Order: sequence, then C-alpha cells, then structure tokens
Amino acid sequence: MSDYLLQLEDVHTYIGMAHILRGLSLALRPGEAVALLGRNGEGKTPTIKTIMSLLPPRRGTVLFQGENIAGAPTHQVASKGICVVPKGRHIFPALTVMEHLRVPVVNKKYRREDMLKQVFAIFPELAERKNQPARSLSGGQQQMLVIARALMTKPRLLLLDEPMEGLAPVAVKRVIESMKAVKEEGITVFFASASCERALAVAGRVYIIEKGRIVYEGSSPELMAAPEVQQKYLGVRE
Amino acid sequence: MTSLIITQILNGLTIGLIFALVAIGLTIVMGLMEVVNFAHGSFYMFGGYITFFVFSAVGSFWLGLVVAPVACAILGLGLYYAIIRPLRKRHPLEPLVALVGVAMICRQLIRNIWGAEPKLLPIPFGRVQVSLAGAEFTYPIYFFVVMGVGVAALLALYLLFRKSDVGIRCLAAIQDRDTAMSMGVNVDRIGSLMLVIVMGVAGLAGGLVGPIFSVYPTMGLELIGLLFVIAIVGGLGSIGGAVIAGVTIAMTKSISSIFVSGNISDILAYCVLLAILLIRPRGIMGLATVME
Ligand SMILES: Nc1ncnc2c1ncn2[C@@H]1O[C@H](COP(=O)(O)OP(=O)(O)O)[C@@H](O)[C@H]1O
Ligand SMILES: [Mg+2]
Repeated sequence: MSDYLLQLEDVHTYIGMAHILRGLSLALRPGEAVALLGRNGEGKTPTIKTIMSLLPPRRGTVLFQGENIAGAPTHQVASKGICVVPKGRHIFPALTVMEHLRVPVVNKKYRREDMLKQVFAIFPELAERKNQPARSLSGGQQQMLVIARALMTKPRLLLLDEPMEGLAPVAVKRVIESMKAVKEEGITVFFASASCERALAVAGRVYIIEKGRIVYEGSSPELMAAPEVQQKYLGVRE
Repeated sequence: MTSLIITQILNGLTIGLIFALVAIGLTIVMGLMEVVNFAHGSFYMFGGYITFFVFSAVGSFWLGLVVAPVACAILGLGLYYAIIRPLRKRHPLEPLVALVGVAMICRQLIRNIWGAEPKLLPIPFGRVQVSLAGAEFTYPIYFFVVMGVGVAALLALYLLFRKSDVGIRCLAAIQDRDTAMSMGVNVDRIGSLMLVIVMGVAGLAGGLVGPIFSVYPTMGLELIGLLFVIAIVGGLGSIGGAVIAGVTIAMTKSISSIFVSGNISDILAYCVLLAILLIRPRGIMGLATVME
C-alpha cells in the first residue's frame, strides 16, 4: 500500500456534456491538512463531489486507502471513512440540531453516545441548542452543526467546500479553530477555498486548481513566499 | 340543524383522516424519489378489494383489514423494484408514463375479475346515541372506529418520522438527498422501506372505506387528483401539511353539502385549497418545514 490516504490519478469528470475536471491528480497523506485553492468556477466543488462520488468521474482513479472508489455509491464512500461539509452548508431545514446528528450512519465500531460526547466537546454551542430547529441557528452555528454532522460518521478524511465563505469574522475564527481541532484528532482535512490568506491559517500544504487541472503544488510557507503565484492563479484577473 | 352540522363535521373528520393517510404516502414518495406516483390510488383500491375478497371468502371484514395492508405492502415493494427504482433517474416523463400505465392496468384487472359495479361491504356495528352541544342524534359506531384507527396510524407515522433513525434519515433525504447520502445514508434502501410502509397504509385506508363508500374499480383513479392537491397544498414532503389539507378539504365538502349540492361542495372544497395555495405558494408547510 502507498503512503497516501487518498490519491486522485488523471481524473476526468463531466457535468452533463461539459468536461469539468481535465486530468486532475493529487494526493493526501494521513493526518495532513491540505487546501485546494482556485478562483470561482475552476472546479473545486466538482473535485470534492468527485471524491464523494456525487459526480462520479468518467475516467481516472480515486484511491482511498489503496482501494479504487471511483463510481462507488456515495453512501458506501461515506461508510469507508470519507465525509463532507458541502458548500453552502446544506442543513436539513426542518430538522433540529439533535436530529441532524442522528442522520449520519455511525461506523459499527463506535457508539453514537461516544461520538455525540466528542462532537459536543468540540462544539459546546451545539450542546446548548440540541432541540432547536437548525434553520433558527446563525450562519456560524449552522457551519458548526454541519461540521459536527460530518464528524458523527467518524471519518478518516474530512472534505470541506469553502467552509469559511459568507461568515462573519468571529464565525470564521471558530471554523478555523474547529478545523484545527479536527486535524488534532488525527483526521485528514482537505478543503476548498478561494481565499489564500484564510486557507494558509489551517493548511500545511496547498494545491491550486485552474480549468480542472492542478497547476501548482507546494507547502504553505512556499506559497506565502511566492506572491507572483498567488497573483497569477488567485488574484484579481487583469 | 345543529345535529346535522355536527354529523357532517364528524363525517368530514373521518373522511379527512383517510384522505390524509393516503396523501402522506404520496407526498413521501414524491419527496424522496422525485417520482410522481400516479399508481398510488391503485393501492388504495387494492386495499378495498382485498378486504372485500377476504370478507366474501371467509366472512371476516376485520381479517380483510389485516390482510389488505400486508398484501399492499408487498405489492408496493414490487412496484419499487420493478418501476420506481429503475426509472427514477431517467427523464421524469418515463416513470410518470409507466405509473399511469400501472394504474390503468390495475383498474382493468379489477374490473375483469369483479366487474364494474360497486361492491358494498356491510357496515360493522350499529349506531350510537350521541348528545353533543345540545343536539341529540345517532351516529354509526364504525365511523368512530375509523377515526380511531386513522389517528393511531397518524401517530405511528409521527413516531416513525420524528423518533426513529430511519424516519429522520428519510426526512433528511427528502430535504437534501445528496447530503443525506454523503452522511452514509442508503437512500435506496430507505426508499424500498417507505414504499412498503406507505402502500400498506394506502391498503388499510382502502379497506377502511369499503363499508362507507363501497369499493369499485375507479376508486383509486378518482382519488388520485385529490391526493395530488392535498400533497401540494400541504407542502411536498410534509406530513403535518397533508393532514391539515386532507381534513380541510373533507370538512369543507361535508359541511357545505348541507347547504349546496354535492358537485358545488366539491368545487367549494377545491376553491378553499386554491386560496391556500395562493396565499402560501409552497403549500401550508412548504418544503422547509417538513413534519411540523
Ligand atoms: N450544472 C452545470 N452544468 C454545466 N457546467 C457546470 C455546472 N455546474 C458547474 N459547471 C461548471 O463547472 C466548472 C466549475 O464550477 P464550480 O463548481 O463553481 O467551481 P468552483 O467550486 O471552483 O467555484 C465551471 O466551469 C462551471 O461553469
Ligand atoms: Mg465551488
């Protein structure tokens, strides 16, 4: 088996007729936090959906713990140990906080009570609001809720799609803290972001995506020291 | 006059609960599978005929009322695997056309076996003396039994969808299928379970109305339009909304029928539902507040 937890090899994904991911390759080692950076519309969300098998790739392999999961049903991908915090949160509006945490299928090796204790330790604000409908929470609290919801499956890999977008600065701070807490638990973190500065607060390594391909790979300090790369791929286009 | 109004309110409640029970199944299947189940009424009809068949074969209405939901649940599972699951990802017209076909086949099948004329099941129990709000009248005990069974079935559905994991996961999948699947929920398997449950409920409802309306081959097709209206006015995927809409329509029909002819009371009932839809375009509950 390779050293990688997740490895995408020459992945091609289509949305209808549109060729969106065009030979994308990347790899994550166990326990690291990696950002997928890129401007809007370059293919970050399709990458996350491809891993989750919500957009199965037409070509290429998605190896998770050495097994090709490309095209597997989404619920099986989840049961193998990958979970996601989708872009725009995607709460279930009619469900309460506690009901949200009952939706994820907990791996048989763990007990739900223990998992609840763990997520409430990371997110005490949710423990205080167990019976509140999720739609009555603030944006920041909803983001905490969907991270907690994903953690209930006890994933080895947590995917987050623009987790800091559209949140007030205090809430962004909480999201960054909780992503660091997730990494401390030994969970591998892979997240999409359009903001380089915020991503570098969490990620140790970054990929930059453009037109469905990886165009840059480097450590966070390397990218920080390369303003011309940031400008070229992430800055405002002239 | 008072006794007539009270009688009609009780009738409206009885029939409304039945409508709601069947409409909940339709709304759940539409919400979860994104399929317009035109054959839903056929299972209500099967329930009626299976109850009638058992009654004429062994003489027990109550046994029929047990056999009907079980048989309809099994048939529902068949419908899921034969039509709904294979066709749901295709163009929406494909499952719709297939399900319209199933409804037509079911009606013709029943007509060929039992003929077109209605079969009336004898009404169990007699009448009871009621004194309510100063009015004295007699009312069939069986209607109270139907109300009791209806309320019990609604309560069971409430417990399923609000207190069990599988029910909560079903509501989650109705609201956001992809996200539910991403949380490890096998939506396909929940779909098959839901078909079993809601078709069993439709079969029970069809059996229950046998002694009230009699059973006849078009009873399912006649109901389906009303069921869609109830499901849409209640808010797609909403159980509470279906109950409110179902009871409202039945109540409007039965109370207005005191003053106007049956056809006009039907029109009035639809007008009330249309008015609700104009005020709340996404239905009484809207998708955002399923089950409240
Ligand atoms: N439903 C769709 N049909 C066709 N193309 C789409 C669809 N959704 C997104 N795309 C295309 O996919 C590419 C990636 O878009 P998007 O998912 O928004 O990327 P990102 O997450 O990086 O902002 C864009 O070129 C966009 O036009
Ligand atoms: Mg995106």
